[in-house]
Amino acid sequence: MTPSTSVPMTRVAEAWLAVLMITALASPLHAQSEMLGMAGGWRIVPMDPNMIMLPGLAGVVPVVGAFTPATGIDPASFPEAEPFQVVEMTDGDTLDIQVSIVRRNLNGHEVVMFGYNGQYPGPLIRAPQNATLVVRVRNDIELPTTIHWHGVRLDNQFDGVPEVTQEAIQRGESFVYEVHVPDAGMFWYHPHVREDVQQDLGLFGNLLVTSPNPDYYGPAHREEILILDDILMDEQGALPWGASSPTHALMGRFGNVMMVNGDTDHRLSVKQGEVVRFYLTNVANSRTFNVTFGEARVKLIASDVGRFEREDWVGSVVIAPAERYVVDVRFEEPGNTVIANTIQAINHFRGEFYPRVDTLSIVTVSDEPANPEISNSFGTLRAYDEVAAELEPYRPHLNREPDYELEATLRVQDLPLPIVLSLEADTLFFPPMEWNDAMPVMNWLSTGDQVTWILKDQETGAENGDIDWNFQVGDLVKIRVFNSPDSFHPMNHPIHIHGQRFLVTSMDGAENQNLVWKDTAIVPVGSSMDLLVEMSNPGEWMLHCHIAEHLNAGMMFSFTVEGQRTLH
Amino acid sequence: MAITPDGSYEYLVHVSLERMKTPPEGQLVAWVTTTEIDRVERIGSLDENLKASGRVTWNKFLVVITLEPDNNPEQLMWSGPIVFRGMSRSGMMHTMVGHGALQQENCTAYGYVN
Repeated sequence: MTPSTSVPMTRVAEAWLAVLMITALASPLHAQSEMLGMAGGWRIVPMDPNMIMLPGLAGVVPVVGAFTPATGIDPASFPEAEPFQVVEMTDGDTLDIQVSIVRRNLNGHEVVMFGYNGQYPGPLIRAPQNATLVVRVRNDIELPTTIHWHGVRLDNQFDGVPEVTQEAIQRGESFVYEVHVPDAGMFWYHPHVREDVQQDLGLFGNLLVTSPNPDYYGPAHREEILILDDILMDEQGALPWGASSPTHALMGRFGNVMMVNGDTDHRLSVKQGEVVRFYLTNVANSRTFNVTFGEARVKLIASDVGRFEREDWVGSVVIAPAERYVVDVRFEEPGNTVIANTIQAINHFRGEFYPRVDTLSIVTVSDEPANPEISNSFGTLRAYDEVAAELEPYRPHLNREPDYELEATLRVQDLPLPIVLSLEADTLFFPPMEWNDAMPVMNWLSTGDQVTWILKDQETGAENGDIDWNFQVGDLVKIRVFNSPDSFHPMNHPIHIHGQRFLVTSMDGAENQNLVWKDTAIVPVGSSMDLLVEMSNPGEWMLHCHIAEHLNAGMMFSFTVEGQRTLH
Repeated sequence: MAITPDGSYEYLVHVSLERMKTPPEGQLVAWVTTTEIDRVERIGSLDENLKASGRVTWNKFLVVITLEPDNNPEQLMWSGPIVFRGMSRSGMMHTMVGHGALQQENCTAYGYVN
């Protein structure tokens, strides 16, 4: 049953009659999961056994073909991926990165994935602020690829966006990036071609840019990276991805297996009283994490492109796809502390919230005291005067009216009728954030061919690639992003701006009292977020949602900045 | 995002009554309670403009306005009559069983009472 509808929100009564007609087809999901030989190489997406299959969807598969890497080749012929290595680089150094196929064992399953230099995640690159790094990338996977240096205000020609700043790197070809790193902080790199596939299969790594100021952060005993990710698996391994277009276009592809640094069983050992500086990066396709650290005290220090004005105690860290946060955590009590994703998930079938805690990492705290003792410095919240001083020129602009207004919405066509009917009926409440995939089959069946996610310029009515924004270096541009709750199926959107930095000045009219430079920030459903973007870097740059499936379902556009590069 | 460590939303609740007069006796007080009414928190008494504001960290909740004998910030549970009640938007999210596409499903099989 694949009737074509372009989803106007009318004809509801007519639709309900159709619902009644197909209701008799309802059957429990566990029966569906036993089906063999689904069309096109698909396997049905895993689902909560307490849920039932929506009538009319039994046996339906995505309208695109299924993709898994290196199909038909013995996985044993590929090298087993190794844990990431730290690569220390200085100004002018060159790094070779090979994009290749690797073999992983995840949850007892042999999975063919991708890797940078055969590692999971890719190498952790450490470089001093203001260095210029040369990275030679060779593509040895079957898909064209690029590397986008997320958050780095580099020369436009090295931004890694196919058809905008470069041609995609075909198999067997290479591209040389010159990565100038003007800002201290934690950044990351990933492909900008079919992120929903390539990033999900392991193509990501961190770039840590260190400040020359030894007192940039407060004292800590050690530093650890926590790259947060998830992958969607069933009893046979990783679920296939859409070949020509993403599946999971409505909500993005949520995984059901959590990973930290590519590991499903991440662990750390620390001493009692040890202060660990964690650099958190969310590389998941769609999942926003609410990261908790048990009873340990957590100090929030920095985010995407620098430090906050003031450090702050937090109970958890909400981190959307592509965001980064830096926190100091002190482990005071011997024993195990669980780093977890702690959420109130939604069971749409029952119409209920329910608590869900997924372990991300287990920290074993020994009774050996950490040396030196730094509890006093940890217990003190620092205010960063230099950050506040740097922000002074921007403060007169924080409260002004927006120059541009974007509305986030979507349009669908040719979705299976039961999905359309269910979503049309399910309009009484949309959660501000989607913490879990509460409708996995409907979501899986929605593809980029059927769903168009839209950023709409409110003034001109232009959408996505038709938006034509042109700026000069030095412009401070206020952009309001409104995530319309009245669209067909609204969802939160982490908005990423390439090549520039911005401040989140307010959310729903509430002023941000602790500013930090960002490159990605999430807009909950029904909310308006105001961004003050500093146009400092000339070129043609992208603005897009960083949910990989939304991006590949159209939610992006580019703008131009003219003038001489002037980074503050 | 205003999220508690357990992942609940933190809502800022604004209560406002319109087209009514301040009662001649007693004090109108706004409360929030869970949908099971097993937990109750006092938002506060309504001011002269019949408004009150507070925070709530439950995902679904009811707002109850009662007429109390006086304004007692220490009061843990309402004692007066309920004058108004409301519900969070999230309260409108309820089971799909027995409704819409799942109208033919038997509610009792899923623990719901017909």
